Amino acid sequence: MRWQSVALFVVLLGTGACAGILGFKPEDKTHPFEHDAHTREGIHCVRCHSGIQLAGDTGALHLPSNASCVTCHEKPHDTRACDSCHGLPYTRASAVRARDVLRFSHADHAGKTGADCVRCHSDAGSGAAIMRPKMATCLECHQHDREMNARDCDGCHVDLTTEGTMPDDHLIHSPDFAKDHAAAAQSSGELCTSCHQESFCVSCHAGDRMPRTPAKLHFDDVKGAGLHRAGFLAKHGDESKNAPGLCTTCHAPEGCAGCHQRENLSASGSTAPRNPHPAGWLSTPGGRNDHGSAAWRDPASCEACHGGAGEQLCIGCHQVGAPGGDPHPPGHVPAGRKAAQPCVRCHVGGR
Amino acid sequence: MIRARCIACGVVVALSSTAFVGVARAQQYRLRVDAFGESADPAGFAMVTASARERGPILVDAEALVWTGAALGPDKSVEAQGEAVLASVRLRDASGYGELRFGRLMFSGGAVRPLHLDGAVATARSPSGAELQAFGGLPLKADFQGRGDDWLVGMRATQAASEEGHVGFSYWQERESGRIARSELGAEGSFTPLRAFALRGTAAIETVRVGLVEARVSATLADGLDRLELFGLRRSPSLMLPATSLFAALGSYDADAVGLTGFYRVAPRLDMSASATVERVTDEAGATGWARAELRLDDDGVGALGVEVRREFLPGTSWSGVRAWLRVPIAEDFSGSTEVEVAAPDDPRGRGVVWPWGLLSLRWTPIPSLDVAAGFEASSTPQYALSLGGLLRASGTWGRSR
Repeated sequence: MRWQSVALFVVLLGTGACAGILGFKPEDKTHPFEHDAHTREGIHCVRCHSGIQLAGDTGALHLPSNASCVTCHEKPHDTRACDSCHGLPYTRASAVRARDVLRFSHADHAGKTGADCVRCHSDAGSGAAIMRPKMATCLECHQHDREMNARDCDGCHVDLTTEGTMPDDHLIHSPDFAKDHAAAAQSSGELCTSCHQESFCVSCHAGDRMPRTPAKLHFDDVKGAGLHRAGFLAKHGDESKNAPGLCTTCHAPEGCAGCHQRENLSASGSTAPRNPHPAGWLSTPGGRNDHGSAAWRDPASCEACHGGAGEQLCIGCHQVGAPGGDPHPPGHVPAGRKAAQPCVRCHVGGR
Repeated sequence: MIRARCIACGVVVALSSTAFVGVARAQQYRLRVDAFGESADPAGFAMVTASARERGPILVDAEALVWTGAALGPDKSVEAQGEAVLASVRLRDASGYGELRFGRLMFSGGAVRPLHLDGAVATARSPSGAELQAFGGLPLKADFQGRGDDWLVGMRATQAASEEGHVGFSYWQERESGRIARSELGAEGSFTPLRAFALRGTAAIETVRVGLVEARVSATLADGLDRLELFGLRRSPSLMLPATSLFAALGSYDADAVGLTGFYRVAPRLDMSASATVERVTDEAGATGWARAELRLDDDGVGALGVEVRREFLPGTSWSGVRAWLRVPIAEDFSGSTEVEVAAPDDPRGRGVVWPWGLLSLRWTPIPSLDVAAGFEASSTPQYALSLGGLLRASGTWGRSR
């Protein structure tokens, strides 16, 4: 019982000590601005946010200053600026960012809503930190069916593809999203292109046509996850064997050859070429021949170096009557005419 | 020579794309230039990404990505390189019912795997949620090999049911030197009966050799940021190869995976995620698991501290690893980062007992449209006992968005 009490005490102490680090904040310090208290007093928004009803698409944010506050609160209880405690820094940062990335004119809306700010800012009475209406609030009046159909977001979003705002209710990109995103991307129509430009897709899927992987290009973005981060180069051989076919979705099989040649891990290396295959890879019939199971596991990895003219190396042993034996799997059914490639490479004359 | 011609061709297409919109006095445009240099794998290049948009009865978008530079070639000589990776123009009917994309582009959707081609994609939509896409062109191959008589063509048809889901079918065929290399029939579907629950799936069948190329299914349960996803995958690497490859004759050996991934925001600044997957590759069984935690050091997430552990187990290719990273804002326009990873293979086979890797980088952002980053990388790989290298990147953006 005693040790349980000690453990509980340590956990509580640890949580308390780390609360600030974890983002839990005591309520008696910086807190959301008391919009609810002002609303209950019947104070209209424009009394503090003066001029907001005339604000256009650009320009000042019309956030209240100390001078606005002291018109009512004549004797401030602190010498510091009011907004150092009343209102969270990220609330103001959010408003600044909204001004940058959204097209919105309060002047256009004030007349149509009869200067009823709460019609859109419905959280004004709740004491919430962020007053910016959610997009669903906009859609209550503005249906935007045509724009939705055309994926034309420019009417409100300055440039959604560079905005970088993550929707708060869908498509959270988990650390392995790069590896697993296909199901979501393939079944979501053009959802991805609402935020990502085509250059984002080609940065991975153009594979060998790009000079470097995104992980290498953005090496300083250490928070990023992805397939090629950190010491991927050391592990890429094992990783490709654990996910057969995955490399092929971005890389042309021939893409491996250039790097292996440069590293002399290839028969065609420029100087002192070395065999990239481990011991037991190739032997006489009846001996250890690991290359067979490796080829069945991921034939694209073989084609990376032995494709095209290199196929002759395989055919030398595996053609009909040669010692390499039948490379076809049990129950192999020829696909189509033997005269078609690649059957004709071995089955000369359709034998 | 072929490469030089194709690069020139790509540049011309890219220039004509941007010129097209330029003539139309683009209302919005964006230009980004990245200059990158690396010493460990010696290379230096500059990459230009450009996009422009013109609004009118027809919405016009143009996008291009071109890079050029030099790298050490296989024979250790300096080799000039370059590519026009993307150069496309998209025309959209303002009502949203028609769209045409052409140039050098990437097409993906449904069961059609991403295709990089010089060609066009035409899309027609109906108010009832039906969509028909047709695409065709010349597939891009590494080093532009064998483009003599290569082409591909395909289509995709989908029907959406409001927000609740959709079904779709697709077909595409690719020919190499006139011979049929790929022919795939695909099906896709999604079902979202509840806002918090979604089912998705795609499957593609190779019709030349007749077999399942790839099938994916996933079920997602989400509550705000928190999320749990069950997924399954079957892939036949042999059928992913073109039928013209000798290695396609090895037959279809499937790789299967079933797994569960979860994300949970434990505290306002602390995120945790984990995944566990059971796999079967040919006749061998294996498993993969990872867990990751990230603590943001400030409300904006500029600073962060994270750790990830991973275990991949499959006979002969098993390894375990741990990765940690830290990013701290040093000054208003200056931040420092470090990332460390240690991976250990179960069976070293003379490749070294552990493969450590580390990076130290600094980033300077004097103005929002310019950033410069420099890094120092050190590692030990199966190839080299010690590898050291420097990295440098400078990026600038220009544009008009209003």
